[in-house]
Amino acid sequence: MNKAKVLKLAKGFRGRAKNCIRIARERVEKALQYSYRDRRNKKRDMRSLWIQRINAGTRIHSVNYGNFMHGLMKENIQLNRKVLSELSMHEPHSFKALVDISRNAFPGNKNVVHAPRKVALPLSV
Amino acid sequence: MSQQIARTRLAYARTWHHLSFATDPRPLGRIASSIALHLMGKHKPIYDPSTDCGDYVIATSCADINTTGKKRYQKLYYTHSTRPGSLKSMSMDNMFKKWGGGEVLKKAVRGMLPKNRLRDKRLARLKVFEGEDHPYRKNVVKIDGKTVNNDRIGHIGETLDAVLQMKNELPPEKVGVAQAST
Repeated sequence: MNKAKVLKLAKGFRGRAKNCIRIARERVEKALQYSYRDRRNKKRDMRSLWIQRINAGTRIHSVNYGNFMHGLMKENIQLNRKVLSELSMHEPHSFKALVDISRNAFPGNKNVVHAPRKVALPLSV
Repeated sequence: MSQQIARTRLAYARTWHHLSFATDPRPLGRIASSIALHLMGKHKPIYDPSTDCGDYVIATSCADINTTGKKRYQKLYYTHSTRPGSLKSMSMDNMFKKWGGGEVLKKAVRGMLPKNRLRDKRLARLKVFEGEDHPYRKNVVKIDGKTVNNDRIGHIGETLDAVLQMKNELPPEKVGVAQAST
């Protein structure tokens, strides 16, 4: 790539990396490597974010993500995680309906019972 | 376009959650884990790591923090001043006596928050008190006489119902009327 193209790609970089060709060339090469890698990472990151959002949405209704998805699979509901996360954010009543469907198909979690408090005895004086 | 729908101040408003160690039977770590989730905002479906969408948590009666086993007398907290030989340790019991249960809780929660630039800001939203009294009573919103957030800290579904009721989108018999009260 000639210098003009490299410097065009280096717009917005910090310090001499945007002006001086020797430094810019290194940073631009790195930037292109990162963008190649991150085009693949973005798909993973977005799916992880959708799952976190679905988890938050279902825990409001006392169901966790794993049991929720299992129930949906049992009912053969093929909504993907992207759509489910959008529903959990913007369509809470529809999402609650889905949670109810899933809970009927797979009741899942047993109720957690906390042990009563025990008084901690001090160690031998 | 869907990214713009939830961008309202109400959606990102920080709610105040209150929990009292006098009534909560869970041990220190389990409560700290739940507190950390609420400070991060991961209990909200609109969670995004780039926005700090965390809430406030008020923890009262920290003198009554429950720990299992002999942790109270055996767990050590270490400090070091980078000068060689200056490693000091303090048992949890002595921490309670010197700094109070609030500090023990804060140390626990601090370790459970992600270690980034938002950690201290989020930790500052945890307000700890040794007794039951706290100056934030007006911040904790109650609906129908019941606080918005139940024992297990956080129930955003009720907040949402209140909002929709205020906008007349839900039939009135389904939901209580939001009242801000002490």
